[in-house]
Amino acid sequence: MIPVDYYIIVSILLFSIGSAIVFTRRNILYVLMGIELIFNAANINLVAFGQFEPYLNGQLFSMLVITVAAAESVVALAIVIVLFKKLNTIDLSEIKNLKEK
Amino acid sequence: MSGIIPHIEVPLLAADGISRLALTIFFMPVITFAVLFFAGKNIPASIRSWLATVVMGVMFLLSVYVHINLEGTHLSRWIWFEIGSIKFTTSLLLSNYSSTMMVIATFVSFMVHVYSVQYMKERRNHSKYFPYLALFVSSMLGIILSDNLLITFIFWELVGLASFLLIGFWYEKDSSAAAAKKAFLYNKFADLAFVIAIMILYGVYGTTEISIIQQYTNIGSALETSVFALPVLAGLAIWFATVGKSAQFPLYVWLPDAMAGPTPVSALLHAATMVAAGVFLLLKTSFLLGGWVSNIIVIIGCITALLAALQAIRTFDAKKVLAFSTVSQLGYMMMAVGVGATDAAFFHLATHAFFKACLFLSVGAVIHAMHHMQSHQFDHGQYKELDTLDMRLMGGFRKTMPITFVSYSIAYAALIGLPFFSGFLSKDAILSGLYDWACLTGTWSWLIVASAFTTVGITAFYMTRQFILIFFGDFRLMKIDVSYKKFFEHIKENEWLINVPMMLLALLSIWFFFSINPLHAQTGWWMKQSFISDHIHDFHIFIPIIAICITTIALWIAFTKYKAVDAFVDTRAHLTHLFAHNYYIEKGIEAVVIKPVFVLAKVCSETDSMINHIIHGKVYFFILFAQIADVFDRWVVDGLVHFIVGLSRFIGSYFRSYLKGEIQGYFYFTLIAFALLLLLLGWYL
Amino acid sequence: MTLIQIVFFFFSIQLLGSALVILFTRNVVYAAIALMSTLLGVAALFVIAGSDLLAVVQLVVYVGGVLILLLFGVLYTYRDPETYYEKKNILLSIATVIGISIALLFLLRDLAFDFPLLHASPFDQKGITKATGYYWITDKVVVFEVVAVFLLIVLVGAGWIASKVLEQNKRAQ
Repeated sequence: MIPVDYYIIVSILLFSIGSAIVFTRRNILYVLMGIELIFNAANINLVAFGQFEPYLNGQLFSMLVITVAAAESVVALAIVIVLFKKLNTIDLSEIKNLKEK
Repeated sequence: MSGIIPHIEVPLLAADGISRLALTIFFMPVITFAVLFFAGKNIPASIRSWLATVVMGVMFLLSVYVHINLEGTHLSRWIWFEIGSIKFTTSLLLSNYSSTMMVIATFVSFMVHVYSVQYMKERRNHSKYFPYLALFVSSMLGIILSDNLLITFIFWELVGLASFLLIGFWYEKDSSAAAAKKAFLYNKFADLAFVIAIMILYGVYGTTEISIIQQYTNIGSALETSVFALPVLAGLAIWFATVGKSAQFPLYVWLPDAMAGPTPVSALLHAATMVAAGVFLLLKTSFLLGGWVSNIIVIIGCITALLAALQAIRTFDAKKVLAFSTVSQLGYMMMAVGVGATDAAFFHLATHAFFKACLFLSVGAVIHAMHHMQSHQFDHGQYKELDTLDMRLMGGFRKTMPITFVSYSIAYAALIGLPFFSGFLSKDAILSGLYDWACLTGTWSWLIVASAFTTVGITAFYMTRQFILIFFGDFRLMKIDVSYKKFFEHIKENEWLINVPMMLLALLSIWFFFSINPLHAQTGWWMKQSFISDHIHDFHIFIPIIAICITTIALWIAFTKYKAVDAFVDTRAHLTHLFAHNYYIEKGIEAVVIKPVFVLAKVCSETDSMINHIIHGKVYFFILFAQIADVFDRWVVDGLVHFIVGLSRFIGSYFRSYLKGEIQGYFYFTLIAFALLLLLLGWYL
Repeated sequence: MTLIQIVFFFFSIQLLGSALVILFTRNVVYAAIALMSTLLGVAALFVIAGSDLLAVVQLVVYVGGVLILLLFGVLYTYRDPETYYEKKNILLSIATVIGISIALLFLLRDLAFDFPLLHASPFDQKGITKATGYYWITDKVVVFEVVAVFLLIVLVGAGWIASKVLEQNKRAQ
């Protein structure tokens, strides 16, 4: 129905937008959203190629990816909460505790 | 070993009765030595001395018995030790020579022991004197009885040891210690030749038994094969050993200095027995002497006799005069051996033993009297240093010590060679032998005969000089130092223990004991079998006449000269110096032998230290090299590693400086790295 | 242009547009809603690719789970209105998007996709849900269980991190 090239292009564009969000935004929550977009781009790729298989490996792997992404965002939010309690800010340009003295 | 050293059958012989008796005589002084040496301090002095003397007396009687009952030759041989299949044997030879020599040796030692009982009474170090004498007597008997060159050599060395111990008996005096060392060293140097002789003979014959070697040696044929044939060289080596022991030129210089020992020791060792041991050895091995070796013996003997006699003319030490006289008479004996008149040599050895011992004992009596006077002086609170041997301080003892005077005169007459005395017989035998030889040999031998006769005259001269200086005139010490006047009466006759041995020995210096005929020794009685009379000597009547004439002339010259002269004036001082320094022999030896050795030692030590420096230099070089290697290791090798580490760190920190702690920065770099990785994969795929 | 293509383009435009909204907006809540829109578009794309199960899973998990969680996070970390409206660098954003997309396209230019054009999904008769269910439980049951354990760990861990226990421990030190 749809040639697989189109899916690849959509996936690439979504991935690049997601990366741009991660690189350029200063708010942690925006970064988390960008990460979700990246995950979804990978998912699109997987499912697009998975329709040609007699076995359902594409869909299965994609389900795993979704699971991992959800788990990851849970943990990330927990860390954000703790970070907010500690440093009272969610601005990434102000959180420089990892810097070498 | 069978290929190198010839194997000669050496039969073993058991000892018969007489030989066993001789062995007993030999072992008696050994036991005495052991007892007195180890337990001597615990025994009182008088018992010590009498024990040794009695043992000597018994030995003398036993050896007389052996001599009387001896017929022919008794040879015994046993195995000493074995190495594998090589047997080393010891042997004992009882012949006329050895039994006669044994009688002489034991008699003189017996006399000396009796004398020493009195002479050495209450002297220092008394407990060691008789053991050393016993050691000497046993070693001397070993030399006399042994028929094996190796055993003889062992006893030869032991005699040298005993001589060393006895000369340096009062070792606290520097002169005694130095004299003992000198005697030992000169003897040792000559003994090297003895060892060489033993080695040559063992190499040629495979055994050191004298009797066996005698059977296989023909010196005449050996000389025909080669001038330096091995038996000839062995003979030369044995003679050289006697140059040391029997005081020939140039190794005689130890004998005058050996007078630093006690007088009885001088009498026994250096007049009668030890110095004669060399002559005795040559007599036993006379089959090895021939041709040019004999000529050398005669020449050296002649030189010795002449030079020593010349030295005696200007000596003022009483005992030294007698020492030079001994050397001179030994020269005579050697001349006789070289000429081939072995009978005459042995005869002179026997007579010389008796009259020289008597002379020494008489001079010792005089010295003892002087010491006696000194001790009285000491008791009275005055003490002055006195050289009791200086003849210039004596004089006029004829009246105060008559017995000594008589015995001295008899022995003196024997030494000079006046008729009716023993020395006359033996000396004329030697002179006859020399004359016979000179008739056979060529022109130069007459020079030897002439110098022998001249020495007779010189002997008479110096002996008369001593005779007059000691016994005639006034007591010169009194003239110099008036304080001695009151002590003069203490110079009197000594005790009987000193006088009796002197008199007995003087008695034996009279002709009667050697020959019924006072003028010729052919009819000797107790020495009759000592003469291996192969040749019958023609009796040349003119020889004794010439000798008597020369002697009388010299006697008269000395008498007139010394009666009136002031003994302290020394004319011809350089000659005196020349004689006093033994013709500078010692200086010569020092320059020729000792200095080069020191120079060589110094060169060796210099070389050694140079090698040390080189090795040190090498070590320094290696240390330097190690330092360079260390620097290289630290700077270059480690430096390279540190440089690489530093470079990595630098690059890392440079890139890390871009990260300001922002999380997105880390993400950014991760992405770049990932992109580069993909690029890489893209190139390869 | 068949109908299915038009639908595809419509949903992909929606998808990308919502993503751009997230990229450029200053309001976090607007960004969250745009995220929801993006996720809806992805779900539609899943349906077009023949996996309706996955679309539903996506909607349930992502929109109904992750997004809600994100909104909770937004509300929790609310400070004051000024910090909400953050400044952004537009040029850098656009440059990044273009850069990355061109790079990826460049990398993938040589790949020749010979996949055929499908007209129907192979699982249309059977239904994908049933097939996936069978597949999970029979062939891939280990993965299934591992994933379950993994989720458990994550939940417990996240809850523990965010709780007051950690804070108290830290204060005690």
